Amino acid sequence: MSQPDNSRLEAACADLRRLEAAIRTVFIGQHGLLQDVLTALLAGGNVLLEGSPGLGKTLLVRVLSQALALDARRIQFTPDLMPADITGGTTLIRDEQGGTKLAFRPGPVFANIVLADEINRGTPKTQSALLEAMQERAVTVGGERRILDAPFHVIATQNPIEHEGTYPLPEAQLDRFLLKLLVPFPDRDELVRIGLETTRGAVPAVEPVIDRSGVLRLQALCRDIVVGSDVAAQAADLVLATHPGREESPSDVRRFVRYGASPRAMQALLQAGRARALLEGRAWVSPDDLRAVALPVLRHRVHLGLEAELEGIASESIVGLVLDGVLPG
Amino acid sequence: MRPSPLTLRSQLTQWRRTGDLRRVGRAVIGGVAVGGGLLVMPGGIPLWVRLGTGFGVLAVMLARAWSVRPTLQGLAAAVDASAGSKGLVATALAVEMGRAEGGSDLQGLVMASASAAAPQLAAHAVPAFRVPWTGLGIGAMLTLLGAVAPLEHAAPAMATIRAATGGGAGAESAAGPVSPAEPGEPGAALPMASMQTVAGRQGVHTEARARSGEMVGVSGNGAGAAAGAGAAPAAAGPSWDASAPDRPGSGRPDQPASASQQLMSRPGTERGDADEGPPIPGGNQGAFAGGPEDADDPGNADVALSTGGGEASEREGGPAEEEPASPAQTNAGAPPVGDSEERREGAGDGDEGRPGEPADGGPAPIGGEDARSKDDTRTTGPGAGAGSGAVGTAEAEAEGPGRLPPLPDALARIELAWSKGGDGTLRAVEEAALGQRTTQSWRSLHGDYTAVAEQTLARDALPPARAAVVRRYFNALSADAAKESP
Repeated sequence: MSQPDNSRLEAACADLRRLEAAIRTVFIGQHGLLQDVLTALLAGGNVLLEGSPGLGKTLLVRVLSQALALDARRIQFTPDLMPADITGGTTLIRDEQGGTKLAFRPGPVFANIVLADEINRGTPKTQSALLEAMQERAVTVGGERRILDAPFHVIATQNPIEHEGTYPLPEAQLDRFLLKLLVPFPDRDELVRIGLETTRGAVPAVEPVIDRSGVLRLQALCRDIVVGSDVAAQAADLVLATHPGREESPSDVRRFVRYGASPRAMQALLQAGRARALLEGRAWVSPDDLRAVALPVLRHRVHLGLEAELEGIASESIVGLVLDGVLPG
Repeated sequence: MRPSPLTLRSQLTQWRRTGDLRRVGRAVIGGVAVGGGLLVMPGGIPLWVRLGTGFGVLAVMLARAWSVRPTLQGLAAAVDASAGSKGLVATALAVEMGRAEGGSDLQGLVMASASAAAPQLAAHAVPAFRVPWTGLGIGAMLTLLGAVAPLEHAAPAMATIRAATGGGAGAESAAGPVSPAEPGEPGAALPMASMQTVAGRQGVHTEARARSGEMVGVSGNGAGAAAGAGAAPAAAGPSWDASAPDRPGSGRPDQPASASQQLMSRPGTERGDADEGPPIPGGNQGAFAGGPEDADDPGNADVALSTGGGEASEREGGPAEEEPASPAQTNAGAPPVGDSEERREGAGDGDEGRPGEPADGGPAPIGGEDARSKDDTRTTGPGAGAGSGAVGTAEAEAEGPGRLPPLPDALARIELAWSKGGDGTLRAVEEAALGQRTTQSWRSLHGDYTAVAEQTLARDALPPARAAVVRRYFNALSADAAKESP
């Protein structure tokens, strides 16, 4: 029996190790956050980062785009930001003959990585300008549909401590984020390292370790990671267990949850699970991968009711409850 | 190239088969150990009980072994969990069965990884054989118990149980094989329950008499317990009787003049002679008498109780060899010792033929107040003592509750309670219903009512805004009483 060809997997693992090492030269600590962002990158999904100011969210996106040699744009969301400021629009331009003509001027969404900073400060109309781009990798401007270059990722940030003048993201848009990540505060040692290594001067640029085609190759390999039917069934059980209308759901789910996760959550679980397996150098998805990605995949897809708010129940605790029931261990 | 089809599946099947054998072997060993322990136990446990229990244990253990038999997917998941292979076996099995999605090269990689890891995974796939310590321990305990504490002394009790359940084997054990003492001899086997009852009521003296085969009326209240006649099983005192409250004439050891004690002091006398205490109006005459079969059967005592608790202290003749009592004399139709056929058929010469019914008098009260009435009935007199034979008692048992007299109406029961001079809630409520709310009993009852109402109002679960409403409710209920009670 000939040995199977695992060269793709080995090459991908080597690329990922180099990528992680490159990012770590600038981005200090936050190992879990980096793993999750790479998971979303490999799965081709969008990420919603939530954390207090100054935790390095913007830095992470910038370093990532540098290491991947991808085109990255930053959009600072404000209440007066208009959809055309994101998607771009048609403007009058002067042509070579000296005349004028209407031409499409692409907005910042035409990039490989879009950093939507403080996305909840934009109006719902502006936020929704990203909907089509996030889901279909395309924008429609002036009746013309324009395909965005692959890879395309939206990494949005929002500040959980300021609510005045913000517009919470609608459920439909939240569902389009593959992962919602909470940026933790660095621990003491990380804080010391941040203080010592980032105050000498400008943050050094990161040398690209993977180019655009390399990213696409990694994402293609990620889609090829093997998922067994039992793991898929466990993912389905996870999603179904978040639905309050089912008798099999935990009692707290039936009590506190208003809407459960959508079928898109099922897709997200398997996509993220595959990416997690690839990050660990495995060719198959294990239940441990599902367990690792369940919380960031489901926490923003489980919508709690009023009673949960009154009792201070967070969606994380509900997801944890579901996880313990479906995937104990 | 992928491995040949069904490689991993057949491997898992083989692992599962090995696990099945080990589990079944464990179950068989445990079941045989317990069953063997039951079989070697000496004593009065019939063979069919031992065999049945042994097979039952074996069946349960086999069923348990079968119930934990995993599916192939479950076995694969268990192997992964045990070996820490992160779902490799389960995914490889899914790939092999065409239930996985992914790139073909990666699927081949999964299969190759699983095949390479299979030798190391076998140790996790097949459960190690575990000695069924529980089954062996139970079997050893049973064996030890049989060796250290033989159950011969339990044989009469078993015979009693068999007789009570209608088992024909009762005569066998009663005839002697499992009886440690010869019938009619002093120290002849006496059922444990009977001995306890005798000892508890009459003291050692009575027990000695019972052992010596003398006629012993252990109950002054119509329980119809009898001992002796050379028969191995003697009467078991009805269990309810032991818990009867102390009251005059109840036949307790501290009661000096019970009918049974008189009977006891006069062996061989007719139980009707042992009259003590005044007969109650409408009281039941002793319609119950036990031959050996009756005496063996605690249920018969219940029948006697249900029919009014006739004051049937039973007499039997002395030891059969010496002085077989004639049915006419004994009024019980007690067969001689060892006459198992006659006993089984209950074919004594009992002359009443309609046991279970009150010989005369009104219906027996039933229920909470009835118990007291029965006690009272038992207390106050033995009745005429027209006992019935064994046949009749057996019939009464067979007919069961259908033979009960009709329930008296509430008024009759209240009347009965009044006639007994009883006191309590029933009386107080009855008085209150008649407008007499000044009695001490009513005041006591009303005090309880007030306490319960206040307790209810004090509960945390009661919303404070509703407390006033609830209080008005209680006040409305008790307003009339509050006006009339002092």
